[in-house]
This record gives sequence, C-alpha cells and structure tokens, in this order.
Amino acid sequence: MQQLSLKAGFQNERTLSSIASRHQHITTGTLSRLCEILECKPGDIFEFVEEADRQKHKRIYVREDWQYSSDDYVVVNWERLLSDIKAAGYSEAKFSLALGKANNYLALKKNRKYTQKVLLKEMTDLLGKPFEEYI
Amino acid sequence: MIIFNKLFAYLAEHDISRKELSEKSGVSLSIINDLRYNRKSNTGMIEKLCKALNCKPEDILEYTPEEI
Repeated sequence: MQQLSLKAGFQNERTLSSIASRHQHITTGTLSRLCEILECKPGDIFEFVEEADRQKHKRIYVREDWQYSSDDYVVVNWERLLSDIKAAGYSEAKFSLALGKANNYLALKKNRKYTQKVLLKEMTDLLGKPFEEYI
Repeated sequence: MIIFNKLFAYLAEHDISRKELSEKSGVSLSIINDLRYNRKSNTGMIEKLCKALNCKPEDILEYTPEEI
C-alpha cells in the first residue's frame, strides 16, 4: 500500500487506508489518480453495494477481488526508449497510435516514474527489442 | 479525470430530469449541473446518485486520461 501511495503521489498512506477501511469517502480526483496509475476503470476498483447487502458499512466498497502487485510495475529508462522510438522513425504521437492508444498516450506515460511491465513489453515488441534492455 | 457524461446520457435514456434526480438523491441541482463541467466531487455524492438511480458507478461516470 505504501508503494502504491508513492506511485499515486499521495503524501502518505492515509488516503489509501481510508479507502481500505471503507469508512471514508474519497474525491473523484483521487479516484482519477488511482485509475491512471493502475490503468483501470473506476468500476474495476469500486462498486456500489445496496443497503440490503451490506451490514456494517455504508459506503462505496473497494472490490474485494481487486489485487495490486508491485511486481507489475517497473522503472523505465525513458531516455533510451524514446531515443530508440525516434530511431525507428516514430514520433511520440505516431508511436502512441501504433500502440492503439491516443496520440498523447506516450507523452503522459513518460512523465510517470513507474510503468506497467505489460505496457513496456507492448512498446518494445513494437520496436523488436527485449523489454529488459529498458529497465 | 473522472467525467460524468454517462450520467446525462443515462438521464436522457431513462427520461429523468436533473431536477427529479436532485429531489430523489438529495444532491443539489447546481451540483448536478456542475457535473457537466467535470466539477470535482466525491464518492459520497456518487453513492447518492447511484442509490437514487439504482445503478452502478460505472453507469454514470468514467475515467479518461487528461490531455496535456
């Protein structure tokens, strides 16, 4: 939880602890940040539980089947990766589109300290290079 | 960014006015109107809307990456 807090840019674990304890509301800004970091939809991490189905808690729940693994994220050597993307003849926008993402996707991702390993692999596969070279 | 475009589509689809939603949910009409402009809110308000509409959060909101 501490690692996820750091990745999400929260100053401490209080926000995530609040969510986990199921007793506090969070802002849509926090929800948005979690979706960005985890690359998921709100419905993947939150669900609304009807009054009749819940006994003690009265808030939106964090899904009990949701799990986070720090092994899924890596610190990417973006300098090297961007250099190789450029050498392969792509602009950042064109490379994003080649990945099937929005044209500003790479611009957003390169500013993040942590990147999903699966995303790095998609990018290096497109370049025809092993992803381990960029970690 | 969390956007609420789906909420307004949901209201139109189910023929529910914003005023009706406001009365049923207890969320003020001005706050509901402000959601059109992606005003920041919290899960407490989302809960009220879901309860009033008998729907899931993903039926009324979605996440979209912010453009630079």
